Parts: sequence; structure tokens; C-alpha cells
Amino acid sequence: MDRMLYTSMTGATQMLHAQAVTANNLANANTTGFKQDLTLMVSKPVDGENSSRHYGVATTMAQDFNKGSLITTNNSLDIAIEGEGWIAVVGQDGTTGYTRAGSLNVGGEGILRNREGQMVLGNEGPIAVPPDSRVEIANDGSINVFGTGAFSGDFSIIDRIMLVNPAHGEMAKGLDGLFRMKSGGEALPAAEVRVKSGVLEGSNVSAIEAMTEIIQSSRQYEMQVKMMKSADELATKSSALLRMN
Amino acid sequence: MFDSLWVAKTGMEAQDFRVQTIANNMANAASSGFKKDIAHFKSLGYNTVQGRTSMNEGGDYDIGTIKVGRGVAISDTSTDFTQGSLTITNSDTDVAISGKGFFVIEGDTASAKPEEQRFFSRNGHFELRHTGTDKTYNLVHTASQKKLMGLATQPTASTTTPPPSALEFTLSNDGNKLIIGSNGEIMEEANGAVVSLASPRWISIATFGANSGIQKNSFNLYTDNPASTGGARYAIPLVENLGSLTHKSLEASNVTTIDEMVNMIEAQRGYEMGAKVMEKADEMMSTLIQRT
Repeated sequence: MDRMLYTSMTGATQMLHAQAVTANNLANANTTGFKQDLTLMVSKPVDGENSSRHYGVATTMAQDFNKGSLITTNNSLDIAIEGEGWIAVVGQDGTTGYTRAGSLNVGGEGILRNREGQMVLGNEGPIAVPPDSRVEIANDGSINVFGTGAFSGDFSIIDRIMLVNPAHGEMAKGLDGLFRMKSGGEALPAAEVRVKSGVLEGSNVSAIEAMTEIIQSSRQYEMQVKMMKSADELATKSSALLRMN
Repeated sequence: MFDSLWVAKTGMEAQDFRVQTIANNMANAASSGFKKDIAHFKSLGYNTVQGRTSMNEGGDYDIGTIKVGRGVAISDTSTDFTQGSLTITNSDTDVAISGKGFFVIEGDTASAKPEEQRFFSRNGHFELRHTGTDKTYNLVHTASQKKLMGLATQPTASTTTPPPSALEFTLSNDGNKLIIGSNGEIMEEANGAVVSLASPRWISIATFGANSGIQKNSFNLYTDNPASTGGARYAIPLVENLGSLTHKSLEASNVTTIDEMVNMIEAQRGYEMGAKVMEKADEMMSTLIQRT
């Protein structure tokens, strides 16, 4: 009986976790470039002699790489990747991470950053935009700068945003929400990746799917609690059997 | 425990903020020269609630690793500077910019910081004000009651020197009708003919490297933030690729009510879904309390 109680307890706990993952997906239903996390339930044998018993264990190993819908913003510093590919940025920990969120701006010190304040990488490190200039991003990620006094149409390409295109299987989401190579290395720049200026890629979270998952996980949770209650009743009954009078 | 409760809270807060932004856009749908704001969301990263925080040798997370996101937050709001449509008002002191550029409005001229000395606006609703000197007038930005700035020379390129100063012009006769040329020149109508002023003045137009860096202020004014914008540069209309002026017109707000309505529906439903998740988490807690 004790094992039944613990198996159900694990089930309930895992459902709580799974629901929190879905709640986070739902909360990010309007976050640019967000890729939803997928929860996988894995049956894991209990360590020890009772190998017939399995726990259900929730795992968030994978993300849904489907593309979000494109939203037109008409802001020249908003870019969306057409087809496959990623934008290389510098995470808070200083390592290179990859994202599809292309809402960029020129922050303080004239450095090109995304909305999270992470520096966007060019071919040679962060991209510094010269003062007194207007910036446009070409569809190969080149940064065209209309420089000082040259608003008439002369421009120079100062750098190209580092765009990479590793296979989905090689990428995993880190704790800061940026994707990184599973190998721990850095992805190679890919010349074939194309961006579109003036649009953003929306979140790929489907609200219907997420709401269904929320209902499902809460019902499953209730069932687990019911099993815990049954285990309790069974224990009461069996102790009654053992009573002498 | 019950992470989903807190995650749902972040989602609802963010949607609430977004509704505020939308409400402000909607409220300003009829404000001349108003540019709409867009709230941006960012995800808040993850906590590992179960299992190892790092990947294993194969570069995968172990089975049983659960990373739960911390939800969402508003990263910032940005302003959409697309052109609003022009509406004819027939007022002599209304003028609209079609194309790039901002009117320059006098700020705190005594300030040591150049960005505090001037404000910028797309709202071209002005009023004529007598300066006290005979037949001499200012144009005052009605919304903020601050003076419009201009130049006494006709620059051929946008520059930082000389910066514009408060526009002051002398008419040949009080009561002469004001005419503003598409290049910003102040003229007057005397005896049925449009004539230049004895000492010509031009309305100045400012341009920025990156409009995204300027900050919204009250009364349809913007403040420069030189670190992000590259600093304001001044010229008159039609210089380089700057816009032209249309006299007796105003630029309408670029808020499209239908877009805002769609955003509002999305935000409201997002909020409701967050509330539903909260409700579910609450139900689960009550199940736990009552059934055990």
C-alpha cells in the first residue's frame, strides 16, 4: 500500500510540474519568437527489486520548433527570420546563444541589442552603430548605415548580423530562454539564412492546445489525489481486518 | 509548489500592462500627431524544478529533468512612427509634416544638457502669439504652450549647428494672413498676394539616426536621448530626405482603431486564460485539501 501512495504522489507532483510548464507556455503566448516547451511523460522503473512498478516522470527535454506567425510592425529594426535559422546574441552569462526574437534596438553606447538587452552578434563580436546614423537591415542580415550627413542615400555596410542554421536536433533551450548547441560549441555562420525587416515572428504557442493541456493536467492531478485517497482507505480497511475484536 | 499559479500571475500582469498601452492608444486615436505604442513581451527564463540543471555528456537533459519557465514580463514599449493621414483644418496656424522629421519645440533653454533645451513633436497645431514687439509674433505649440523653433537661414543639409531658436517673425501688417510654404518658409498674404517676409524665417525640422531612441513625454512631445538616437540634427523641410510641410492641415494619429481592437481582444483573452489557469491551480489545491 505504501508504494501505491508514493506512486500516486509522484504522479500528482509530475502533473503539477507539467501544468506549470503549460502555464508558462500560455503566459508567453504573445512573446516574440517564443518556442513552446513540450512536456514528455516518461515511465521510469522504480529503483530496487520491484521492477514491475514504474513512476511516471515528466521531462521537458524538447521544444516545439514550429514557426510563429509573422506580425508586421513596420519598424526597420524589427526582423523575422524567413524559414530556418537563428540570430546569434550574447547571453547574460557572456556565452553565445541563439534566438528567433528579432525585435532589435540601438541601446545606450550605440550597441545593437534585442529587447532583453542582449547584444546582437555580428561577424566580429557586438555591433556598434556609429552615432548620427540611420540603420537598416538587409535581407541577408547586413547592417546598412546611412552615415553622418549622408541621408541622401549613400550607405555603407558596417557588419552582418550573425545568422546560424544548425539542425533542430542540435539545439536545446537553456535556462535563460536562449537556445544553444547541445555540443556546447558555437554554430557556424550560415550565409543562406534570410531575414525580413519590419516584421516580427510571434510566439508559436497555441492557446487552444495549452488550455486543453491545463484542463487535462488538472484532471489527471485530481485522479492521482483520488488514488492517494483510495490508498488511504485501503490502509484503513486492512488495519480494521487486523483488529482482534 | 503550484508554480502555475505564479506563472499565470506574470502573464496576467503583462496582459494588463498591454491593455493599458492599448487603452492609451485608443484614447489618443484623435490626438493630432500621436504615434501609437506597442508593448513588447519577454520570457523570464527557467528554473530547474527537478533533475540536474546541466546537460549530460550527450548534450541532452536527463530524463526526469523539468525546467519550468518563470513566465513573462513586459520588456519595454516602442513607438510606431509611421505616418498618420493628413486632415485639412483650414486654420492658418496648423501645419502637418508629410514624411520624415519632427517639429522642434523650445524646452528649458537655460539647461546645460542639449537634450533638455528642445523637445520634438509631430503635432503641428500652433497658435499665433504676439511677442510684445510691434507686428512680431511667435508660433506656440498649443498642447504644451511652448514656442516652435525655427531658423533664419536656409540650410542645405541637416546639421547640429546652428541649432534652431524660438521662431520669431515680423509681419508687414498686423492681421496679414500667415502662409507656410512646403519648405517651412513663413510668408504672409498682403493685398491678395503671397509675399516673403522682410527678414525670412523657416520652421525647423529635426531628424534622428534612430527614432526608436527618442522618449515620449507629455503633451505630444518627445525628448531626445542622444546615446540611442545619435543626437538630433536640424534642417528645414525638403532638405535631404526630410518631409514637406502641408499648411492648414494636421497629421492625424496613426492609431488604427481596428488594430487596437484586435490587440485588445488578444490581450483580454490572454488575461482570461491566465485567470483560468489560476482557477485550475486553485481547484487542484482545493482537491488536495478536501480529498485527503
